Amino acid sequence: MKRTLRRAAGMLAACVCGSFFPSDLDAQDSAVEQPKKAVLVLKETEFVRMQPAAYMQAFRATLAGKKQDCVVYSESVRVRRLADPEYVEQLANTFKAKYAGGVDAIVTTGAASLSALLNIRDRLCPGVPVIFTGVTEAEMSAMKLPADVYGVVNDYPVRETLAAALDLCPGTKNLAIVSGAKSDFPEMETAHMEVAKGFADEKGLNWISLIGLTIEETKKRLATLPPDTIVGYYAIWEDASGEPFDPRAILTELNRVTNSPIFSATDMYLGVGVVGGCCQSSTKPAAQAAGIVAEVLGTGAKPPQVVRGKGCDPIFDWRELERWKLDESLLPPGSEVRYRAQTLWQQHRKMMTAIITVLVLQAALILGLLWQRRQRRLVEKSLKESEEHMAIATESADLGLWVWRIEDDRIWSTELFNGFYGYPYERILTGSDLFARIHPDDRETFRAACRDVSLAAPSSEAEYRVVMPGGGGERWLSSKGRANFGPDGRVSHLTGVTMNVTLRRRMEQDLQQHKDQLSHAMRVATMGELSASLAHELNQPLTSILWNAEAAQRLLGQEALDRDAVKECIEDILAEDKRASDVISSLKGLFKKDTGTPEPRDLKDLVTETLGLIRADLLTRRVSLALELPNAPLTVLADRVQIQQVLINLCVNAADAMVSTPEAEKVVTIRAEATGPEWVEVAVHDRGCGLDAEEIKKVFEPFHTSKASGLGMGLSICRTIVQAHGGVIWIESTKGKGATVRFTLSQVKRS
Amino acid sequence: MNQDIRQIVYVVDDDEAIRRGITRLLKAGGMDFEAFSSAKEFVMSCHAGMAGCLVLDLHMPEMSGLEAQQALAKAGCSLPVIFLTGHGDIPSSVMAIKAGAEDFLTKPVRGAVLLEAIGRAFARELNERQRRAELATFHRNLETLTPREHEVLRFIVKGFLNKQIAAELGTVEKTIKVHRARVMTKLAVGSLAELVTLVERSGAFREDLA
Repeated sequence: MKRTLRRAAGMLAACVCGSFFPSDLDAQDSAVEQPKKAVLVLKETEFVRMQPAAYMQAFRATLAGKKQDCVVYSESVRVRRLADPEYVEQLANTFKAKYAGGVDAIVTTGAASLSALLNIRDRLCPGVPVIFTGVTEAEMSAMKLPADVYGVVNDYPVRETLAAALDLCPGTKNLAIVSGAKSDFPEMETAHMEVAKGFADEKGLNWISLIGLTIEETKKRLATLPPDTIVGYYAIWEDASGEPFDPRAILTELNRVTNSPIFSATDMYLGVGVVGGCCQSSTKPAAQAAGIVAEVLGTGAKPPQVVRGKGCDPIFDWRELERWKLDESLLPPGSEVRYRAQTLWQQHRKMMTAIITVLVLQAALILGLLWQRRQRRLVEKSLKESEEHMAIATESADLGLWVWRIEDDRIWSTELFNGFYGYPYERILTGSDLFARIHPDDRETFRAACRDVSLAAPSSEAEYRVVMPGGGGERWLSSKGRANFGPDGRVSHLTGVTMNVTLRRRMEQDLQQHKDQLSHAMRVATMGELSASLAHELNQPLTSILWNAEAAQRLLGQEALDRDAVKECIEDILAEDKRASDVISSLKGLFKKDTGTPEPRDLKDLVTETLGLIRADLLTRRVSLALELPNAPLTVLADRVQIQQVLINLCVNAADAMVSTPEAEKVVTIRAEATGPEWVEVAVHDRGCGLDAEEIKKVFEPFHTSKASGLGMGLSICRTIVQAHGGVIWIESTKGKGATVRFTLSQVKRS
Repeated sequence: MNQDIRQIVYVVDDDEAIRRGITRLLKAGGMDFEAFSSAKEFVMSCHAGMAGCLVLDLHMPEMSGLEAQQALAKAGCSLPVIFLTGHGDIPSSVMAIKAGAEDFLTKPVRGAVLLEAIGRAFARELNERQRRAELATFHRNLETLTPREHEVLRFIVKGFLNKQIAAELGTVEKTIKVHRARVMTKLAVGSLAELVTLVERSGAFREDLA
């Protein structure tokens, strides 16, 4: 039934086009299946008080929000024609034909349509609730509303708009009002004009009336308004010449020529030429009306008949604010500024975000690639540099590098390495090439170093001489190698470095020579000091020899020859001669420059022999000797002369230290004993003045002396000698209680 | 007199070879000797009745030659000392000579020189000993004089003539002559000069001689 009606309505709408606006069939076909509630909205098409599109959108959205599933129809009504009863009659018929029995509520958007509807309601749709919007207080009170008519009342906020305009344009002196020549609601316009006039008077503004002029005149006047003027726009439907206008369209033209900002009290004109104002809203009444519809249809409750509109919305056009250079901060609080010029960013945010993202990603990629390239270059550069450094380092350090492949006995090597052995760089060397050049005495060392590598100790080193062919001299090489093992656990190749250490060797030799020379010089000096005592040591046997010889001579001259006595004399002579030559040979050793090499010797013999040289000296100084030697021989590895030198030095020092010791206590004790299987310790003890901790620290330093005439080299040389023997020397002392110098020598075990 | 007392060479040296050498030499030279290996040993056994000389090594452990010399002087042993030294340093020799050393020989010293020195020391020692004996006799004889003779002797030593002495003592010259002859006899002197010398050496009448 309903469907038939609707189809007919569509056809009818097509026929009455012109006098009857086509119906906007908003319902969906599918929605008809259920007996849905239907709501008809009557939109006014002239003198509109509400923006139709915004109104409908707000209405529908609110209804949907109230969960009221309704079909919303809308019909346009020409306000101007509503005064024509024929038109109204026609409307009634049309509506009846279209919606009879199918509409559950009707919403009106202005006073004219409400009033017309109320006239035809009983015939059209008796009992259907009517909800009105867009009606002023005055209009409502002029009408007699039946009980099932509900609505929202709104007054145009003329005064608020003017007040806001004045705030926004401080210093305003004139108020110009623009309006058309004819109004369909003269009462309302008159009332509004009175409000405006009252405001102008109150604020002391000049009243400039641009009402009912021709459009040309209006434009001219607008273009030549005095400074400090604000313009209030009411509406121009028709000018003085009777030419009809669309008040929105003409506003745009007026705005183009005006020299002062235009304000308006309705959101109808927003966006087409006014700065703005406290606007009568289209959406808020729509939402309120939808709320009432939902209540009436949904719950059947009876809402309050009249709801006051929710005030006004201060809304302004940003472009106009900019045009008139108006300060946004002067807008009423809570103002909405529309049409703000959007920045490029606001307009194309997504696109720009995407582009920027892409750019950023690209840039990151490029940077990444650049960085990678740079890193690679750096690595290449540092690799090259390190190769160069390596080359420089190996050359300047006289280092030869080599890898010796055991499998085929081939040696990869650097130029320097080949040079060390006197071979040209081009030649690939073999083990026997090297061997041929190694000094015969060092070949075993070299061979052992090559042989003695194992998994546990893969490193090996050797120092050896190579002899250049054709008398090219000798050089010392030091090689360090590391073995690399194959999977079978055998050495696959040796890698290593070889250094030319000839210079170091030479320096070491020189140093050793200097040490020997110094040591010798000190020995000679010591012997010089001991010369008187040494003379005594020689005089004793010489005297004995002389006397024995003379005695023998006398015995031989006697008549009765005492053979035994002569024999004794000669035996003594021989014994004493040996004694003298022993002293001399000891002395000779000490005066000799070359001291030879350490050999196994009995330390006791060494001590005794040494004492033979210094006994007389000690005697002269009234120093006695105490020997504490074990009975068993103490075989040590010692250079006779050097160890004698150490003993002489220590004994002389000990005697020197006891200058102020009472004679009875002047004893030098020499003790020797094995301290374990490897070492023998010799201690020389005196009862002299002793040393404090500070002196003990320095005592072995060269040129440190406590004696007026000392060189300070004695103990330093002793240390050098003992260390060369692999032993250590140290001193123990308490100040005032004597001192003990101890040194160790490595023991040789008798097999 | 005790002129027949044998003179002995006392040898003190710590070096056994030296001791053997010197003793052989002395033996071959027909001298009596006694050897000691340390000065201490000798000092312990020394006494005033020893005759001969001492050959002393200067450098010895424990007690040196010089110390031994002092110790001996203290003990009243007046043997002449011949020092032997391996190296004759001047301070030691001066000290030794000052302390009355007979000789100071540096080793190696020829046997002949050593024996000569010993001979000299013997002679001196003998001489000393004889003089000591003479004085002892003189002192003994002096004891035998009567107080009167003692008085007369004092005036004689002072150089008084008999006449003067007689006047001093309140007697006659003749009496003095008798006393004088008796003094000369008792004191076993032949001449006035001998008498005066002996008196002087003995230290008697020192105040009168001054």
